[in-house]
Amino acid sequence: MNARLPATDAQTPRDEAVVRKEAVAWYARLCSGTITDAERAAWRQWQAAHPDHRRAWQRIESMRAALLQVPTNIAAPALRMTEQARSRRQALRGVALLASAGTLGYVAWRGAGEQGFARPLLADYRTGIGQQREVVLADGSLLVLDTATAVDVRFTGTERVVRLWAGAVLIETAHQRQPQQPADPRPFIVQTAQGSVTALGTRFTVRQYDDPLHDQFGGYTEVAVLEHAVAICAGAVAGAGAAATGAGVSDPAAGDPAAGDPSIGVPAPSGPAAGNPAATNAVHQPVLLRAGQQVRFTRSRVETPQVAPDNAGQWRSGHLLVNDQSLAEVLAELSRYRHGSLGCDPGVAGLRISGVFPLTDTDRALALLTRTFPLRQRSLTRYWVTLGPR
Amino acid sequence: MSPITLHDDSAATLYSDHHGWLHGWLCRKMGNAGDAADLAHDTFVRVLTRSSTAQAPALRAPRAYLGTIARGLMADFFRRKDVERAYLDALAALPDVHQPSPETRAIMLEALVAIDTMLDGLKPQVRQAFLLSQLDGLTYEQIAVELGVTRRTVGNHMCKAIEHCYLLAP
Repeated sequence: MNARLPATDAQTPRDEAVVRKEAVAWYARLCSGTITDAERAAWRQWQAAHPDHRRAWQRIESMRAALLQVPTNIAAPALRMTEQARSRRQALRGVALLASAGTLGYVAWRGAGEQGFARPLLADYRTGIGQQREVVLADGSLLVLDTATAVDVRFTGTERVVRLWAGAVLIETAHQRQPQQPADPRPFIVQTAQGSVTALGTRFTVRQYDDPLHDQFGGYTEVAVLEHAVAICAGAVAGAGAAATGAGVSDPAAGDPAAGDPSIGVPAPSGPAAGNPAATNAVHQPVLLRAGQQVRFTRSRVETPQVAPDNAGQWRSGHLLVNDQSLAEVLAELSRYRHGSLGCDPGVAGLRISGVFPLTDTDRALALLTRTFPLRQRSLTRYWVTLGPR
Repeated sequence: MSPITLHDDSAATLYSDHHGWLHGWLCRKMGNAGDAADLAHDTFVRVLTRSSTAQAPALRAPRAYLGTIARGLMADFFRRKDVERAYLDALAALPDVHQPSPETRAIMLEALVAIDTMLDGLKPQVRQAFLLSQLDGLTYEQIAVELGVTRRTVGNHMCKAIEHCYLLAP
C-alpha cells in the first residue's frame, strides 16, 4: 500500500494539524469497540506511510501512557470525584453550570491492565468484560480466552507463540487434543510481560495479573497446569515479535512429547521445591511445573509451586466454583466479569462463602449471594454495587 | 534555589510592603490561615526566582502581579486538594490487601494531578465520555446508552477529547 506512494512523499513534511486530525480520528476509531480487521489493517498502513504519522502516533501513545500511569480502578473514580467537587464549588460560586452530576455517578473499574497502552486494543483476539471465547489455532491447538483478555498469535516456521497482553487463557495443545496426530515439532510458547511458558504436551491456564498498585511494571503471571507439564522461564523478553525464547527448553520441547515427563535439561523441582523457601530461580533458568501445580512468577523470579486449587481452569465452564473463600475474594473475582465497581462493607468482607456462581450473568451471581448469605445489595447505579450486612 | 535577580533591596521592599496584604487576601479567599501562609510564601518564591525581565511588572504594579500569580497557585492548590481527596476516597473503597505503600501513593497522586490537568477544560460530558472509554473500557454504543446521547455524539466527544489530550500530553 505505502509502496504506492512515491519515495519523495515520505520525505516531504506533512501539515501538522492535518496529521494530528488523522491520528486523532484513527485512535477514536480504534477505541470505538466496533473496528473491523480491514480498518485495523488500514490504520497500520497509515502509520507506515509517513514518518510524521509515526511521530503523531507517538503522541497518542504518550497520552495513553499518561492515562495509564494510575490503575484504572483508582483513576476512574478519583477523576470523576474531582470533576464533581469542582462542579460543586463552581455551583457555589454561582457560576452557571451544565454538569448536573451526570447520569452516572461514580464508575470504577478494576484495572484490566492495558499497561502496554494500545496493544490490547489491537490484539489479534480479544474479549470484552464478561465475555469468553474459544479459538482453534492453525495447528489445531485450542485457545480459550477468559474475560477482558487480549492475545496475539504468531506462528512461524520454528515456533508457535501466543502473546498474552491482558486477562487469562486456557490452552490445550494440538497434541493433547489429538494424540494420534503426528506431533508438531515447533515449541508452543505463551509469552507474558513477565516471561514465557512452554507447553510440554499439555493443558494449562495462564493469567496476567497487572497488580499495578505496586509499580508501573509490577504484576505477575500465574500458571496452573491441568495435565502434563510446562516449563516456565521468568524474565524472557516480552514484546511483539520478540521471539519468545524458552531458553534451554525450546529444544527438548520440540517434539511436543505426549508423555508429561519429558526428559529435558530442566532442573525439575524435586517435589514442590521442597524446603527451600527462597526458591528464587535465576532469570532464564527454566522451572518445570507439573499437573496439579500452580505457580506465580515475576520478571525476576519464579515462586515456589503450590498445589493448584480445585477450581483452576474452571472459569471455562462459565462458572465460578467457590469453596470456603472470603466474600472479598469472591467479589474480586466476579468483578472481573462485570463493568463497574463491585465491593462490600469491611464488616462482611471476611464472610466465608461456598457455592457455584454464574460468570456469564453476574447480576444473577449477586442475587444468589444475597439470597444465600446474610447480605444486602446497595446499588447507586448498575456500575456501582456494594454488598452490606442484611 | 535559583538566583534571586531582583535587587536585594527591592526584593526586601516588595516582601515587606505586600506580604501582609497578600496573606490577608489569600486568607479571605481560602478561609485557612495556614494554607494562605504557604501560598503567600510560594507566590513570593515564584516572583523572586523569575528572570529580571519577567519581574518588571512586579515593580510597576506589585499587587496586581502578586494577585495574578497567587490566583494561579490557588487554582493548582485546589486542584491538588480535590484530586487528593478523591484519590483517598477511591483507595478507601479497595480491600486492605490492595493498599499501596506511602511511596506509591505519592507517585500516583502526582500522576493523577497530571491527568486531571491534562483533562482540564473539557466539557463535563466530553470528559465523561472520554473516561468511560479510556478507563472503563466501554464501547461507544455503551457510552451512548450511559450518557443518553447518540453514538455519533460519542464519536464527536471522543475526537474532541483525544485532540485536547494530544495537545496537552506530556
